[in-house]
Amino acid sequence: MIIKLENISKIYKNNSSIETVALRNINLEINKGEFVSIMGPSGSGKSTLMHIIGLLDSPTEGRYLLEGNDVSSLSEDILAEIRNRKIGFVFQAFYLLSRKNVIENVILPSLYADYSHSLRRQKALKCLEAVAFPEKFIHYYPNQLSGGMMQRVAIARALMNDPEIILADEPTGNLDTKTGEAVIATFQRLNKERGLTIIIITHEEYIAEHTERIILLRDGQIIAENKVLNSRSLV
Amino acid sequence: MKKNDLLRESISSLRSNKLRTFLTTLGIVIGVASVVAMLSLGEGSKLSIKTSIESLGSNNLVIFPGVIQPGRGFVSSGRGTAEILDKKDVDELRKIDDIVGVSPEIQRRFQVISDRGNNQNAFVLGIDYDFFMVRNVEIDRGKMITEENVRSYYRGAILGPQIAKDLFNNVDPLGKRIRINNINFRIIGITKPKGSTGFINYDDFILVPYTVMQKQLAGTEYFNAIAVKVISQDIMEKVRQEIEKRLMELHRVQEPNFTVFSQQDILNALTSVINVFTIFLSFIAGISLIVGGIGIMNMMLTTVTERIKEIGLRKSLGAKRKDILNQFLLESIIITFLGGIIGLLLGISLSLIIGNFTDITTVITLKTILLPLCFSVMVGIVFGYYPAKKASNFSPIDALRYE
Repeated sequence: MIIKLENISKIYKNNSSIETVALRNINLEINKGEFVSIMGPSGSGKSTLMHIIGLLDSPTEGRYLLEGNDVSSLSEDILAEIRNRKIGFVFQAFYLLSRKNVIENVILPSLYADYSHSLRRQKALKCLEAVAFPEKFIHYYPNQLSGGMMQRVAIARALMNDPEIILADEPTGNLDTKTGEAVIATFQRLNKERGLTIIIITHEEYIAEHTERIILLRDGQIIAENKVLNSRSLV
Repeated sequence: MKKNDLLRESISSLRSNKLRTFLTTLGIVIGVASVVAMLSLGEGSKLSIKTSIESLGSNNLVIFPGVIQPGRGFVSSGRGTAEILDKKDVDELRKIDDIVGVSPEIQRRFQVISDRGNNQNAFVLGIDYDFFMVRNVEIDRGKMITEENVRSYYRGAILGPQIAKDLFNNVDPLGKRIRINNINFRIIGITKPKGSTGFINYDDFILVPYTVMQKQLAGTEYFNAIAVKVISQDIMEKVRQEIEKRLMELHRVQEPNFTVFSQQDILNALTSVINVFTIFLSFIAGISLIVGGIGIMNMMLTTVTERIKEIGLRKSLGAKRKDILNQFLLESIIITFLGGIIGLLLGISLSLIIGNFTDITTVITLKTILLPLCFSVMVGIVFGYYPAKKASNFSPIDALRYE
């Protein structure tokens, strides 16, 4: 088991001390190598859940075990270090740095890890190859690329430090159906070939159907967990 | 994060907005250049005062009539202030073994007309034969004023090169006549150019025997000053005390009614005045550097706001607070360092131009280079710290969500 959430709650307080419960008693286990989707309408707490799983935020209550270690109350810098080594993020808006070209964007996470300069480049090229990014575009800048291409670069960047887990927040949200499917196919392949644990947050059912398990969230609680019996493979 | 990665990241983000970086750097360039120029001007003035005073003779003591009281300047004591030093004092001073030359001087302004009709209101200085040795004034052409000239009331005059030019244009004045206060004088010599020596510029002076000055021009037997040359600089203080003792006895007074100045006193007084001016001017120039620093802070705050998403992304990819802080801080340090170097070069060029094309002396020392450079980097750290700290404090989620 790579991720274990025990009674996780997240409560936000605003200035006038009014509490908003974003997550309530979440218990969730995700195995190593699993391909999971988290679904729910907006305001259901799926983003908060992803932030907690991705160590971008700490729970108000409960315990989070990552590879068996309690990470619920670690300092910000140690969390940053764990994120850097263990978790790769893919965002809906890609978040590529416009002043950096493709390869420089992919290299970014390795700047915060110990890599030699030449190793970085080789590694980045391999990651781009793994997401089937055409080599001739590696010196292009993000504004010269299509949405699908940009998301591939973002996935390659997430792979850069050999993470255990890929967390993707609405990765197809800004893409058309066909391009979105290509991105999902990339995730499926990475999951199968590399045994990466992949967690996708989506509100689109057809995307979730490509994963192995769907976790349904509503009002901060898990209301259903369904194994996808006939997961549609695109690979 | 490795140091070279940090540097590369900072440079890359500065390059992404070249115009803004250029304008912010310009603020620092102007600040540093003006501080460098001001400091070099100050150092230059100090040096030129020092050399000119030393050119007067560094082991000279000058006796003025009257007393200097702190904060009140020259104060009259009993008789007319100017009527204190006379021939008896000169003779008394000549008795002191450690004094190698005594130069009594009377200075006045008179209307001087050359035989070419040129009319000037000029400084005329009545001198003794020791004047040239004591005051380090050399004769370019012609003769000095001798002991015999002084004794015989010889109406011979020696012109400084500037007054010679003013009175005779380009004609050689040697042997010609001038009228000082309607009395005829023959020009017997021209001094070598010496330049300004802080107070006096002998190039503008007409030198005549003091006896002639006393009897025929000024109508007084008292001197404005007596300069003496001491045998060695090490015994200046001892000689000063000896002079005071002897002249007090001679004047029959308990407190000196005269003041003995050493060149060092004058040098110290002038240097302290110049120091105040240099500090004042550098302070004004430093204000522009601080304004440049505010420019940096402004730019960095804008940059941080513009790049909040980048900060969020970097944090989610594993950047620690320290990494973000260092990156943004380094950006402002690069600007101030770069601005410092360019400003330094500009300031040095400026001071060289001033030094070469005007009469003002400028001097570049290690201090004039290091002080503004360190100050500008400090400005970068001080004004860059707050924006960098602000950037590093964003939580990754808030930063990514920022609209």
